[in-house]
Amino acid sequence: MKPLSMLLVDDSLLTIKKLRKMLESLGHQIAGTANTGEQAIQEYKRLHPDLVTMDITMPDMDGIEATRRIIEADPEAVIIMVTSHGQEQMVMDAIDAGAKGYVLKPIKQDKLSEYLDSVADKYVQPKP
Amino acid sequence: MNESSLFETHFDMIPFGVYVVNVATYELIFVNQYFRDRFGNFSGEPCYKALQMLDQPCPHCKIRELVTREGFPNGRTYTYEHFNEVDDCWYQFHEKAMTWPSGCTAKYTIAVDISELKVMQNRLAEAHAQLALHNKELTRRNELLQENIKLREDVEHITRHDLKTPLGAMITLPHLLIEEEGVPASVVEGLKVIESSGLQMLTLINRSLDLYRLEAGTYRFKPSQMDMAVLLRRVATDLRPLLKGQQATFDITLDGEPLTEDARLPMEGEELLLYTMLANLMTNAVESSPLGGRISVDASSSAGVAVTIQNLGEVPESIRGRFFEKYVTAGKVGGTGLGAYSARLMVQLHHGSIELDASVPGMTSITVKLPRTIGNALAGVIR
Repeated sequence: MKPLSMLLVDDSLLTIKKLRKMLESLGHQIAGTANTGEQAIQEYKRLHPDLVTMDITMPDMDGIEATRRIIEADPEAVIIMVTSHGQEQMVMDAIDAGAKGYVLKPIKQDKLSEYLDSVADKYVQPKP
Repeated sequence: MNESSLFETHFDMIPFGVYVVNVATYELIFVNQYFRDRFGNFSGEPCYKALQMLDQPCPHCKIRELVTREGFPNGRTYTYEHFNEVDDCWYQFHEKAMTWPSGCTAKYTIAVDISELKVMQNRLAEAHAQLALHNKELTRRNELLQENIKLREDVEHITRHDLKTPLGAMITLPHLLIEEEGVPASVVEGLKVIESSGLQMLTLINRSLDLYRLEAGTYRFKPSQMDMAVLLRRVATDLRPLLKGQQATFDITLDGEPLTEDARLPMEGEELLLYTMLANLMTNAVESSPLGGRISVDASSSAGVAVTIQNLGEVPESIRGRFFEKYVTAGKVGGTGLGAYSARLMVQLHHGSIELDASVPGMTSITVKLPRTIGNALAGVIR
């Protein structure tokens, strides 16, 4: 798998810690982290990572709105939702907002690795 | 055994996690055996720190919903699902406030581990997401395809117009040259061939422009009184060279009787379009028949006007469901897939219907149904 630079967005520091450990062991580079929707937008604009993992429930702005605003700024942004919310409407809203994937917690390393492979193959453009 | 011990013994016997929290301080007063075995005894710590590893009360905390403004139990029970980041498990929480034997108001939580149940639910949600992504991709491709079709049609439209300009000279000049004195007879004959070929090409271009307008919904429909019996005779006469090549014959009837010279079937319609429509369908029937085939064409006056064209030979099964769609053709040399398609557009413009019947093995039957009268309301631009 090609190493990707990633931005991890979650208000739970525990989730960020777990994700960072898993992704780094898969060879990816964590370019940055964000705990709120607004911070996620700012960090995306600053870092332009290959991929963003996005939580849905956050204190200031939900992850679906943050996804919509990042996609507005960069239609090529590759964002996958990593969340505990499995309600059908929320799934549809996230895809409508421009998410390229939806992974439900608990996050398992083998499942995440396989998922990232397929999303990266389809959507991540090689950097010049 | 005091009252507090009674509660604790009771909670210890429950085969799910149970913990009790002081609602004023968030301090864990009690953790039952099930949770002690799983996590160790964390009584005395704030619940959010011990259970969620947070520094402040959880965002989903329901304590305020379970007590009155004065801090007493309000009798409500809350049931909700929550994913615990600490042990990676899904729980269904049942929470209620009570007065603990020590006198404080406490919240007790029964936490049922539903992780196995959530596996299937989560797979379903992820499948929904995959499906939604595929749908989005299909919609995007479809839009691209529509754009390409529109672009191609626009180019075709422009090309047709551009072809008509040089054709004007090809049609006009031979006529002027023929009228000049001293032009040898052999040259006149050649010029007439050029003129007639030019006119034929102009008719073809105009017909294809009609097709474009029909598709675009900009065709100006001008129905008038006409006669289907007369039209059928004319088409049959004009297709004689084709019949000869195929050694085929038309068997034309009106309400089951052979079509005579004086038979009439008056109706309203646009004669040129209906001529093209019938010529397309009857040509298809001849070309699809074996050598020496008989093509039966029966007009009926019972409900509006119906024309059924029947021939030997089968429409390949692979295209039956799409027979009247654009560019659909199979097994015909030089077939463009536009004949049946344009026939459908022309019939629809007349508020009629067209159907393929391939139910009899070895036979093909197409029935066109048209209204007898169209009425003034339909005149004008109709899609």
